[in-house]
Amino acid sequence: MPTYVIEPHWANWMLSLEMFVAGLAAGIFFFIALANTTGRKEDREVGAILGFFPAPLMLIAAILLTVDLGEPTRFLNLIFTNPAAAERPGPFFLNPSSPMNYGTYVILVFGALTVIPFLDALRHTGRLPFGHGIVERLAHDPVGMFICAVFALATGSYSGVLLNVTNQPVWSDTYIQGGLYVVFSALGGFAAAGIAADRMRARETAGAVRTGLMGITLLAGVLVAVFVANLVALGVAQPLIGTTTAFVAPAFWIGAVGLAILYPLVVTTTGIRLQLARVNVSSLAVVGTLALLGVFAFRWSILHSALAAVAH
Amino acid sequence: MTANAKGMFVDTTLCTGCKACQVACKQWNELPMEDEAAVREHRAFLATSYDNTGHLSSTNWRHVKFIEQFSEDRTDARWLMMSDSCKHCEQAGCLEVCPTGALYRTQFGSVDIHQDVCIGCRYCVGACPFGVIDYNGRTGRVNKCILCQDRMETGDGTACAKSCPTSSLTYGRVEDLKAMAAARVRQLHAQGKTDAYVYGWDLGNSGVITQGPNKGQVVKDMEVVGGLNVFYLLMDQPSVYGLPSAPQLPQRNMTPSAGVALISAAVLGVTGLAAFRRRRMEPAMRGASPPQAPQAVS
Repeated sequence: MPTYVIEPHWANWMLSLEMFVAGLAAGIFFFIALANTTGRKEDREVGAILGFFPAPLMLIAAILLTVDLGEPTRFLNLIFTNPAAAERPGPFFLNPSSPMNYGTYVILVFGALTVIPFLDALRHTGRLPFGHGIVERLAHDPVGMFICAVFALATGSYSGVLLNVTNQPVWSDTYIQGGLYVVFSALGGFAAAGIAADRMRARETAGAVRTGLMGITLLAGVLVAVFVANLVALGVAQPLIGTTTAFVAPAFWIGAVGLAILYPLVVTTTGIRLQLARVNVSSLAVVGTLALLGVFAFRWSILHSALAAVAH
Repeated sequence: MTANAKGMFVDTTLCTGCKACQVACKQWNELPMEDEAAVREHRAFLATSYDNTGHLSSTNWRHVKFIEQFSEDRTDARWLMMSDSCKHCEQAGCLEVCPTGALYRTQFGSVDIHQDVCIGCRYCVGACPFGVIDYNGRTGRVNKCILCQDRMETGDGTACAKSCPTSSLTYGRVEDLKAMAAARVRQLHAQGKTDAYVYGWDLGNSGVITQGPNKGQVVKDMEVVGGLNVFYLLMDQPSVYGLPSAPQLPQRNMTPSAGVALISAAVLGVTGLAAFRRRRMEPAMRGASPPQAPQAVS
């Protein structure tokens, strides 16, 4: 075994889940920002209900990360310079060459911003006792939502850039992990919006979700093709194209490519209606659910691809 | 390079594999045995070779590698031994990515860890091109060789070098060690051992491998990641010793990766805006609901 490859604990399931829920929160917020500023009344209603999700999802991500790292107080060292690290100047810690540092600040701001759609969701459902006016203004201000969308997309891309800036097989073999992660994050957001639109019978919004899913899955397909081609050209694609270990290749191809990209792409492009037993499996609720599974499979398989490379 | 940087020169031709350095390291740094999981997984004692540790870990900061090369008919054999540890790189990937300042450059040019600042994120584990740093499940922090920082401060040098009975490990000023390495390579070449070269610094030597599977291949000194404060005299290709032939800093990917993410985000923004402008209605629904004019935000 090469000595310069990660130990298995680096890529445990908890890390996959952390990345998935944080990415989903970012993707949903991206959809909300679009719906609230450029959408119609029906879109904003779907957006308002989706507003219940980003904040709790970020909370779940934080809890998982805390459990993973063991001590919550340690997180403070990511933000404030620990007195023991006297080599670094200033009260706030920033290592300019560490993507994790930038990511910490981005996620911190994004986590705080998720409160806005959450409060808007409460307002929309009549559960907010005060501040209706300011919450509504914040949640629908185009400039504010643009800033929120930027932080959401930065959060979505964070894990990908993080994996890219390592010395691990697959993770660092291409430059496009950041792009892949942000696209899959948006894909998750639109998939969740599709489920919500379907359940709420919001037909106009469902139409927007279909167009969005079509464009995003096309973009994801192009990036995945470039990603795999790049790995093949470098001769390091075995973890993803072979069946070496731990279901990495099946999860990638069936989950990430099949469920998250191809199935939504085919359904949204052709408008095909598929019945399985009595279930309309081409409905946005089904397509969205399968796409979410695929997004999780994407994160899981990429995270574990480094381990599969070792086994290979 | 840090002025007056201290480090070690590892002359693998002098290593007998006695593992006194490993024992001294364990003893001085009070390192426990591998954790229970490692014992269960038979990583604590391999029993497949005289190499009884297998690899560096959070509790094995030094590891004597046994590279056993046999010909197919097993009439010809050679053992290459190498006492491995953290290289204390001039451009250290671990230090570059550490998000808390736990990893830092000491006044001796070595890379040390503030244990009370480390959050156990393990980012340095994935960033090190040599696989040196390891996560310690018991403490929730990372560990590696710290070049006996406490001993260096008192002028004692490293415990491993002190215990080496063949002077395979030599502690001192890096500049002095480089001169020593250059002289040693010249000496070996003069003896016909043209395999010898330096891994870590380019001192201008080159040669040809005379034994083993890579016989006939050209080797030459190589400076990696800005130079290594703990560097090696090797007798075969780096990969034979489990060392990367071209280690790189993880930061090489940072700007391109962020750039691709930025472009992808911009395309997503346009796609998202287009989605709300040109809606793809379900066939059955087409015409059912006339498109509304965009409304002002209420």
